Amino acid sequence: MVLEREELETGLAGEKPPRGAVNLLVFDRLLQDPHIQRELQSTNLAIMPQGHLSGAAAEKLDVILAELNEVSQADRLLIEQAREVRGHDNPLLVIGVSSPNAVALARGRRNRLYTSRERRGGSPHRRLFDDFMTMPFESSRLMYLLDAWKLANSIRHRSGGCPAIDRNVVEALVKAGGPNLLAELIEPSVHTFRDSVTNIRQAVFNRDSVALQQAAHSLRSASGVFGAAGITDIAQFLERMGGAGLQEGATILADGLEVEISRLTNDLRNMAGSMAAGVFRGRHIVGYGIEKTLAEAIRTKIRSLEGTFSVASTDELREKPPGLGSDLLVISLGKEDINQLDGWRGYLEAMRPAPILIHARDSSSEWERIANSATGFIAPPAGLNEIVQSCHEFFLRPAVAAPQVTEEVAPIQGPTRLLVAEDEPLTAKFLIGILQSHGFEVTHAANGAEAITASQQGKFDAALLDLNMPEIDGYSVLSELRKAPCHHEIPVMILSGRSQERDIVKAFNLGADDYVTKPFNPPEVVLRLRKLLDRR
Amino acid sequence: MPSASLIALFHSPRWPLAARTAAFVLLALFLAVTWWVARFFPIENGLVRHALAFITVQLALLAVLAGQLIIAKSIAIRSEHTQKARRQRLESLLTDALLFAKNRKQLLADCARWPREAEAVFGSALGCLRGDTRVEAERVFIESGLYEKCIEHLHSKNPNIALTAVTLVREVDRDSAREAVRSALLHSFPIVRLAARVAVLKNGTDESKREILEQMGSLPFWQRLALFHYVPNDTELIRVFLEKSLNATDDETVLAALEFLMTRQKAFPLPADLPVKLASSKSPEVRIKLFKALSFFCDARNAAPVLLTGLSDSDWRVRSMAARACGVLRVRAAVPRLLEIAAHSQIQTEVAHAARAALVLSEDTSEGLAALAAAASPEMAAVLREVLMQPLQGEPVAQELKAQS
Repeated sequence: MVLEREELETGLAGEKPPRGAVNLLVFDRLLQDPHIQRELQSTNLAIMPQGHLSGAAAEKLDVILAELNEVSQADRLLIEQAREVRGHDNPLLVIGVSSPNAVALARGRRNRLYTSRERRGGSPHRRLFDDFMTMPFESSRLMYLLDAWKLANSIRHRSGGCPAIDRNVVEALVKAGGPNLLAELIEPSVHTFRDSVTNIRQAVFNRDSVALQQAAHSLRSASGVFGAAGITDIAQFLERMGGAGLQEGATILADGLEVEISRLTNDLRNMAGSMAAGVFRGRHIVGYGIEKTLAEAIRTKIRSLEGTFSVASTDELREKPPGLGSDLLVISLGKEDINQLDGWRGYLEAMRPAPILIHARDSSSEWERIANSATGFIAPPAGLNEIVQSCHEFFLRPAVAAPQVTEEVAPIQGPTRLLVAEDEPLTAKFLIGILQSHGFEVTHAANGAEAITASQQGKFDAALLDLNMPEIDGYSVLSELRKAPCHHEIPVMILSGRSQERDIVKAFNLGADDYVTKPFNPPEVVLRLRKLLDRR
Repeated sequence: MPSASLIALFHSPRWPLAARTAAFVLLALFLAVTWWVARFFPIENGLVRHALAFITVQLALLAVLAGQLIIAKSIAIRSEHTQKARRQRLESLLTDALLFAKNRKQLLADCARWPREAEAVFGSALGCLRGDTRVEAERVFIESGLYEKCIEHLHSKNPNIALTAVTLVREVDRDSAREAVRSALLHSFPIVRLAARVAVLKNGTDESKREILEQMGSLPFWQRLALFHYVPNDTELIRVFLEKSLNATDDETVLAALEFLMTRQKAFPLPADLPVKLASSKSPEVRIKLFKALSFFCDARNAAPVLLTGLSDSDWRVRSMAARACGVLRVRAAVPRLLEIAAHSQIQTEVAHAARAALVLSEDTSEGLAALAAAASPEMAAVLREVLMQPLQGEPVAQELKAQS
């Protein structure tokens, strides 16, 4: 599977990719609404009325837009038939439209579309709707969903049909991005899943319904980030189940979960690996002094990441500076080189600004003498993974990243008003300093109450919130922002020391657009904010 | 440094004696002053004269104390303001130095002038930053000379100073820092040693982490629990620690390993002979914790024979935990013995665990347990009824199912 990062980003940036004829079936009550009619006219979709659901035209449908309260059990069967005709490779997308309450109803167990037996049995057909839209209807939102699902289907297809990949995964991947994708996004969830298996077993034994619900809720919340259909269903089933039959079902479910987890882990690891490939693509790295076997291993690894690696001789190092025509030069030094450190330092000073990573093979305090002169330093003991990881991190640095990234860190046009709510003075200073230097107009609030007051008194283009603040916490500030008419759509980034899965999920559920955990890297915060603003 | 000497005195073993002596000396001084003041009152009655002197000295003492408090508070407020202003200045300079590569010289000069405030600022900065900015912060910290001072302070007799030094030095990603923190493991104050252990577990070498884990058995229970939280999820490290500790002859080391297992919900392979060995331990604590931790091992179902032995242990606490483990691990062969315990034990906790496990293993046991409840004493019947009828709160579907049935 090859995942194009650019493809992900452009797919969600709101730019409409060239589209073929897309057949959209719209339920009658929606079609009668003049506002929706107007909105749909602005798209280039082929609109079909509800009557086509039962005819032969149903086979040609790409998307169904249904008013939630209007769908009957008969409609549901027709939709399911149409979905089966389309198959898994090119699935039919069913979007429900209604008020927020109706969305909750459709997702919940009191969904009237299914018989009580189907609900109890955890039928795989329970997920009639792939996505939901709430009123007022917006064509741009519809186009966004179509693009995101198209992209998710494409990734799913290429990943061998992993059921865990849907629109939420794509969004989460784009939000996370970067080298820390695995650490920030995937592994905490995998740990949550694993821990939940044990927790569920313990809770079932203790007949502790509260602990069971917590475990199931934690599973469901975590899987909500990924939209892992299998896990969500299992978690909902567990949450619904009472004492009767619980003991029998729990072991089977826990085993099923473990299988699901390992599959999800593998799929997501592959995706992370593919994203890493994008960083090395077309890059040329030159190594010097690297042991032969290690050099061969690095060459193979870099090649698998779509870059190139070669080893330079001493003559080449002397004669062809700077950088030997490469994107990065990795110089490996051992104990035998310590006596010549001054010479090496002179070489490095002369080579500036050519990017050079120093790889120390042996431990010694002497390396400090030249570490400052190089672009980066790989401390011993460092093997293949550490060297490749250091190169990866180097290529992700704003100053050396690809041209489009460099463009991203350039000061933005016109002042962007930003609300920064952070109680820790030094963190606030770092944030304000770097944001102001990138052209943001920053208003600082030292606690939650000040942040709410500031949001009521002024208009902001984005907000950066800490969660642990005196008086009123970041969650409450986020909720208030989402309620306020002038701020309910602005990008909100959370910067918090809380790194537990439940905190991250809660923030996203309340409407956060991005989540960065402390300790943080100030330039990364600016980049992420810029990305959020660009996407709007 | 009078305050440092005072703190050192508070923490020293001589403090109780010093406090008692000081109390006696002050009392003697007070009485002497009272006797001396009494001479200035022209009253013939000795009792009244001394009582008046006593009151006068007390009033004077209170006035002096109040005056001292007022002065001390105003000095403290001024000092706080000064420190705050210095911190703010250092924070601004550090921000400039790290983000915009300016004011570095000024920052270094101010760090030398106000080392205490600078240490606090660097502590915050190293804690909240990562990436290149953090590496740069570390460089400035070393360049300012504070790093060297902190290394010296690691062995300070004042535990507060040593603690601050440990928390700062552990943030520096250097071999020399790791070595220095390791040396603080021998500090005379337990709290400093604990902080050094935390630092080693967070940022130490594999070897030093292994050493800390090996010493867990010799630490108090609360310290072990605090430290387990910082043990990294390094499979190899944990595997070696558990293998060594579980096979140790010392009970405390075994207990530490079992406690550690219970803080992680990660399955560890169960060595074949381990349950038999630990189940025959003379220490009931070891046996209790073995059965408590058994469900945290993988392949623990193989331990069924030991669980059956545990159900016949002489200590009821061991039997209770073994019964619980039988339920969690689905050891169906234990059902008859569990029912026997439920029928004959006089200890409510044991009966509850046995009955619950029996019910989990076979729903057919519910009738037998109901019969036991009917024949048992009121207290025991209440326990058995609770096991049988324990309502699952917040389960509408369970209620729905119950209603349907």
